[in-house]
Amino acid sequence: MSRTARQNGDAPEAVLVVGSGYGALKAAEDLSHGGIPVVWAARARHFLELPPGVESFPEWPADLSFQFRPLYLRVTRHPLVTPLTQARVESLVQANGGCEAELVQDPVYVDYDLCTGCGRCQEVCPLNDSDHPPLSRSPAYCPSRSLLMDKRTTSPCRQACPLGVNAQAYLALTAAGRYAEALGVIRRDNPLPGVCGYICSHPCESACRRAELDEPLAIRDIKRFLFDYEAEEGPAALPSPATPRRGLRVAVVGSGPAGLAAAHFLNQDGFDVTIFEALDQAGGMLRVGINAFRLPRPVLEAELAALVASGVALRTGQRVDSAQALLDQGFAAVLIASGTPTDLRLNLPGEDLAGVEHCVDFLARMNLGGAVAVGPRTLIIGGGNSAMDAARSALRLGAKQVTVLAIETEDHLPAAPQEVTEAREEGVVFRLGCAPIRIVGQERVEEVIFRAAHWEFPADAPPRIVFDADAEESLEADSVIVAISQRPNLADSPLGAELDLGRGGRLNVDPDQATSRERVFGAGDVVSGPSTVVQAMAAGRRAAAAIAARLADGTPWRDLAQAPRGVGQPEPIAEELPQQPRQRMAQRQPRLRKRDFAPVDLGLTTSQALEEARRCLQCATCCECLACEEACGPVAAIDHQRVGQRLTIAAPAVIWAEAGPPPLAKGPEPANLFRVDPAGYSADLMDVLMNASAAAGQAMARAAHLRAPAKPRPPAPALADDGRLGVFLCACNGSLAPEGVLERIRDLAGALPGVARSQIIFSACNPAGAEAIAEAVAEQRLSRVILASCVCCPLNFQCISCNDQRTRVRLHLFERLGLDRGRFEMINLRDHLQAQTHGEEEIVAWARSQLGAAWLRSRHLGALRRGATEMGKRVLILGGSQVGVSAARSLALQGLEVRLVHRAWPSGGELPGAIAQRALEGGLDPRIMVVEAAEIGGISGHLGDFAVRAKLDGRWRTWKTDVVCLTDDNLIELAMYAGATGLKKFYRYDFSFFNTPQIGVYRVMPVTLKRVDPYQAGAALAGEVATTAAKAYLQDHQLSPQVDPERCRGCGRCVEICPFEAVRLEENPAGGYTAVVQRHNCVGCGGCVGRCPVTALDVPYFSNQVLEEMAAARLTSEAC
Amino acid sequence: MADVNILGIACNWSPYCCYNAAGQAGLALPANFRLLRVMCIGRINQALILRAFEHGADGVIVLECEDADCRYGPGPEVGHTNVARVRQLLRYLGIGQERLVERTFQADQRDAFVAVIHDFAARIADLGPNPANPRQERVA
Repeated sequence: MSRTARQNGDAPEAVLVVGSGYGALKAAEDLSHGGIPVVWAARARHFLELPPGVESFPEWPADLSFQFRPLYLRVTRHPLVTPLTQARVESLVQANGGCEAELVQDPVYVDYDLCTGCGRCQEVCPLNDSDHPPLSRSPAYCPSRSLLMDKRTTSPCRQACPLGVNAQAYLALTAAGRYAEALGVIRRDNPLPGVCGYICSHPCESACRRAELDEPLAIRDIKRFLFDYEAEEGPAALPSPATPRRGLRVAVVGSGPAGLAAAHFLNQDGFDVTIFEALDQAGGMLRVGINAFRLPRPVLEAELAALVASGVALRTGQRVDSAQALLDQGFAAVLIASGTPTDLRLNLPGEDLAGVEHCVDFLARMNLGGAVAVGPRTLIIGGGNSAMDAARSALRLGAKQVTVLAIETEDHLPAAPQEVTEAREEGVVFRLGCAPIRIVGQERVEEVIFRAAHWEFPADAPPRIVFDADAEESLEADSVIVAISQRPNLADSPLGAELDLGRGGRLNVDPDQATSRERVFGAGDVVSGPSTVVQAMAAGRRAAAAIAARLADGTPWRDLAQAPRGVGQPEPIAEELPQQPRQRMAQRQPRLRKRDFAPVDLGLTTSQALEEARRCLQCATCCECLACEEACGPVAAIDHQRVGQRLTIAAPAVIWAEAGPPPLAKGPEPANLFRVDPAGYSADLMDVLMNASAAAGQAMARAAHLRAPAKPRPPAPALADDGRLGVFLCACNGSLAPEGVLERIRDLAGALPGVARSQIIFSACNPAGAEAIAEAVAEQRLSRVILASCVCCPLNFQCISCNDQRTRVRLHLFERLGLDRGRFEMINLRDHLQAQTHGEEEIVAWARSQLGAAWLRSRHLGALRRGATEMGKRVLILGGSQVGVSAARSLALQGLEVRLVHRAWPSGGELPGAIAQRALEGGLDPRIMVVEAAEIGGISGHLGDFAVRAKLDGRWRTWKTDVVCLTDDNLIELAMYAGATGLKKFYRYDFSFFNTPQIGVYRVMPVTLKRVDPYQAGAALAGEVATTAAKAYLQDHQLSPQVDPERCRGCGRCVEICPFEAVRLEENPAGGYTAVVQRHNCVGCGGCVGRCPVTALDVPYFSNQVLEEMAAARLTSEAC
Repeated sequence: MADVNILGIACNWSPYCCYNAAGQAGLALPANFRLLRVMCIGRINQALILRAFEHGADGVIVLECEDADCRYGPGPEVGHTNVARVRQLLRYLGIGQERLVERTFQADQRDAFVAVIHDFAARIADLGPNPANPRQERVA
């Protein structure tokens, strides 16, 4: 048909069902079982979640949700259904006779198809006991044990960090006392946690959301605590770098933060890195520019040692004069990270007087062990961190009076406030808002002359100094240290001559950090000008990524510039959360600390660090420490990197069962949009279901062209049987039993008679785990298998206690891998072992008992009934009411062969006047064969092969049909045997509205027409009919019983008890009666077996004998 | 507690759902309790219950759905008939009718299920071992 050839490209075609709850479930069930592909999208996190405000239904038992579990599993695991949770419809546009729907699904971090529900992830999650644990389970009635993960937008601290260090995660782990893991989280993104723990400018803290409540977290101090904590245990260690190595060498020029970071990440990725450092000691500005009282030397040494230990070669005292020479030596790439080691000059008169020094020169000499001295009155010019370092160093070198002269005002000083405070505490005096104009002295400096001034920042020009007053002021000084920033030294070196330099002698690079010279890159302050340690490291890491991408394929590690992940805003700050100031490190007193270069801050104590880490609000809920990914192990269900998906569906019909209106453009509502209004939920459950069924029926008529051709009956598997038994134990990712115990159980099973293989499977519901079972079955030629997992049976249907994982095991083993379910004995060991509370011996004893019973069962496994009923496409509708006509139209549209009898009455009955006078609605599909009137003699046969005797035009004839629908009330007696009251009860939880005791004969109950109009009722009926008539065959119930004619005495109790007419009495040759099971009608309950007083009825698969033996075995514990 | 055996015969639907949920929630059942699961309690004939006593069950508890909830219709009805009949027989046999009880559950009555089993186990413990002969054979 041309309708199948859609114009709109690749968009998959399916009926779109939107919303969660029972209505959507029922609609999806009808459609998928009617052979129509369905995309089911719900905003909820699972499909049974009811619309807001709806909690229960009056007049239904409290366990109603449990009763829906089989339906849920049948639908969500149906091959024609694409289930999407946390998905919403962005737009619905009419197109090509249907709707084009744009869907957006939030990222699903725990793969629904893989998760075993073992809960290991929850066990290791540092936030599991918090107010908002990131991992949770659905409510008990939801049959999937899969975990749900809540991950909000990446926390602000992490977004603020130029390196993207996951502060939230290491705070969470610290709060849980897991310090080594916390440090490991930092080292994923930052190879210098010690350096940064001491001196990072901590942009994370500026972004911290806790500031809205009281004060930001002391993130840096916690990092320092973690590093110090580790240092007490032993040397710092970086993660092992990648092996095998790539065989490519990279030279890094400069051992400052940018160079070290780049070297580390390249080394991690398998490059062989050599750092060239011009000075005799490595560390760049970390060593020469930052004082030991802020960054103790042992910290720097430890970090450098860790880097060298991880494989980076460090060559000090090696000035690089030519990048080309390095390339010629065989380095595949060169990274210039030589920083800004040259002081800027004031260019004022007197700057070259004796006693005037420049900051980096001064600090470098001091920090590299050279001779330095300052006069009693020292003046520092500049207001940045280097100026503070110089000022505080001067104090420590013996200056009696240290003054900082800076143009900025207090609020705008470039130095960190803490530095300024500490300097002031130590006695440093500030003269702010002043700019020097000359330095005066004879041979040595004597005084500095300055005027009031401020910075001006014109939009189109560099900042400039504007003087505010004409008056000159002066300060006497014996030493002056000029600390007004630095610049690169490339312009002064031959290396610079090879490269394109920009303003201020900075190295010009493109966005990929590449310089003008092929395979020569640049990063850090040499490119950007003076910045912070963390910014320089980030630049180094970016360069490393660029180099790796240039030299090898792909980008080796996460791109830092990636957009924040996660969906949704952080939890609001709870009102109950008390204000609590942040923890402060103990400090040495100013008068003591200014005497030496020992550290000023003493670090947080363990209890302080714990207390502080617990203040973290955990903005993103999930902190992404990744502990759960590791715990998930081979199951591999968790992936924190998953992103949401956007998809377009070409939907011939849309069923809307979501709270809120559909996102439609203005204008008339599309004819193919069917609403199952959640507002109706408060009324009655059956109303909801009936409306959903009607919507599904109408949608089905519009989507009939999507119905896949009915599949022919599969061949029955061969049944060779030599009793070779295999036992498989599902470890459920290590949660079934403690280590060692599982092995004992395996050996126990291996010792049972006839067991050829006893094996532990990491997870049976995981595709790979199921494949391992299938491989072992083939390899060992097993003909009987015991699977001990959480699965209770191998049958092809679900009960109310079934769940998704159990369903998946059977889908994998029997549907996908084609194993014979009749050869499997399954026991639910997992849920009753009580591994949490029981001791080892109790666990083993329970397992022994269960395995013994299973072993016994496997010895007596009887055959499952495997009969099938061929289905044709013939539908006979008796009664041309509005319902009948509507159903006939819908079924004809769906391609079924419909015969509609307008007026029908049972033999002996009369035609009611209303029907006799009724006119048949016109304009019927010519494919519908219409009979005006017929007397019906009776219905015999069964679903798929009914014979209906009808008298028309005075002659009796027999119509053969697959399905019969009775759509006028006067015909009900044809389907209802006398005393068939309580019909509702038989199908109470099937929610099939049109069934009669005779399967395959449908009727419309008067109450149905109170819920929906006749047209909708007809559509719903058609949908229901199609769920059987559209199939090629219907399988018999696997547990259908058999009658032993030798024992049956024809008492008829079985016939009496069966509500489905699945047992009938037939005359036997001896003149008596024998019961015969009508397999087409049987639902496998076994009621007749229990009722039989002479045990003539039995279920072969699970025989009376097996039950008795099992009972005996259960009672004699030593027997197994 | 005396050395007694308790066998539960459970319908696969509501009672098994309770049993299953109890296991998943880590609720302990008596160590001497064993469960035999059938598709519907209607599946059990009187012979099976008697056999259980013959094989040394000290108590048998038949766990069913509520009448209105039977997935198939006739299950609890058959169960009631069979249990009533076997209880009579147990009295005649001298085993005692109180060793056989039936209880109904809804699918969400996990805690009630656990409580009922513990109750029954305690009652049977009070009654002591099944006086029928096969027990001696089993022990021997």
